[in-house]
Amino acid sequence: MIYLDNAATTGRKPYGVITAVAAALREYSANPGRSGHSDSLRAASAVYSVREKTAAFFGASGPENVIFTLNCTQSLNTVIKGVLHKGDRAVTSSLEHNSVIRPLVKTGAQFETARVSLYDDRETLAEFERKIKAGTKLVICSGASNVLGKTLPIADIGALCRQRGVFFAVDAAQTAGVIPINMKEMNIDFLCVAPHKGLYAPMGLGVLICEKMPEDTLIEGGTGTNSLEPVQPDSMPERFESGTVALPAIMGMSAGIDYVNRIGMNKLYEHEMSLCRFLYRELAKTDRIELYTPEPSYGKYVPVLSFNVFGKDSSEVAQYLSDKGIAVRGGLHCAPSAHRQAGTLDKGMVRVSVASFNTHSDIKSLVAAVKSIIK
Amino acid sequence: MMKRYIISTGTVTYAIKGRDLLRRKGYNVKIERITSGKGSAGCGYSIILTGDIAPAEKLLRDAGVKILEINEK
Repeated sequence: MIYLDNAATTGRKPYGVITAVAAALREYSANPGRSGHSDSLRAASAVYSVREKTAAFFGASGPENVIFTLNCTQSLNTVIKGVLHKGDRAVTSSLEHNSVIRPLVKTGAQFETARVSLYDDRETLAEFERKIKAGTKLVICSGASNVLGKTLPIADIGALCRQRGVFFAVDAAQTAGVIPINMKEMNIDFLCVAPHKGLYAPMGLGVLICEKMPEDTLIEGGTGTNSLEPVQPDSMPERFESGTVALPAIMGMSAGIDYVNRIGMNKLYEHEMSLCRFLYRELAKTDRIELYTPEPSYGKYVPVLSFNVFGKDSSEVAQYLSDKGIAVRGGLHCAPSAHRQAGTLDKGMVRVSVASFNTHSDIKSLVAAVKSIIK
Repeated sequence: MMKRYIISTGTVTYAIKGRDLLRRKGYNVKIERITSGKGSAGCGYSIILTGDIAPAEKLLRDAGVKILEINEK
């Protein structure tokens, strides 16, 4: 199978990640942060070292700001429901995933949508400037669309939020490990990460980094501390980490960060974007293909490209490609907002998403397969 | 003889942060899990320090390590 569905999860994990998970299962048999024996403390120290590494990787203030969750969706829910209450005001973007939209709706908060320009980040920023009003409590948006690949001007939006005194949360599901993120420099208060994507970690782990403490917790339970108290402890990260953390996945993520750092995020990104741009040019050669963005440019897009074949449903095309041994994703990608903006709610799009292990040969095979549909 | 202190941090994260910080500065420290003590509210982690408490406490507080209480052991 030629795997080009990396925006869902990176389909090939580096050898170092696989061995780190196996080693964790062998070497860390005790529950971190629950007991006082040496095995438990050794496991807790291992987890702590990954908090340190993660904080450094994302420019966060400290390791205690790094919270391990089940997935990026839980991270987003923790922020949105921990910060917003019924009647509060928020601003989000026009390209958001349901992981942002559904929790926003659930809170009963009023939220406005800033339209993202696919061509000019200044227009996007101006939209956010217009939508943020007195009383806006939170701005939450994706680092990049999981459908169109368009990045948002996060540093500029962060500066705006700081100037207006508004909390700023970023859904970095498609950008963490792909393009640089520095929370302090970008004025990001809450960063939600899907480590199994750009950090090549196992599934079943999410990260939430908080520069500010959300008021409410999403779940409550055992934290290994303050057991006499019927309420959650007030310290991060334990306040937001009820239940045992996924130590093997955490160690896998640590190896994934090492992988990205060793090769270099810029080098990985340039490789992936060169494949995306090659694909775009090849698809643009035929008039039976519908493309929805300008040619993806460096810094303005992540390696995600969506298209349609005229007259065909995206799921039909994705199935055809699957039958040819190529994994892509059709449909709405849990992001109807982006499809509404693109005008594809009725048919979805065929999404191609590239990772470090993909090659020009993969893309050539995809192009040949797409052309065979058109014939 | 050097005095020994129990620095209650509550969480294991702050205990490890404090332990690593103090070790880098040459302090003799280890972590213990302690059930009693009003600061720990039932269960919690503490740094056991042998040595001069005042500069150690300053180091920890400056680094943002939350200290619930300090007792001589």
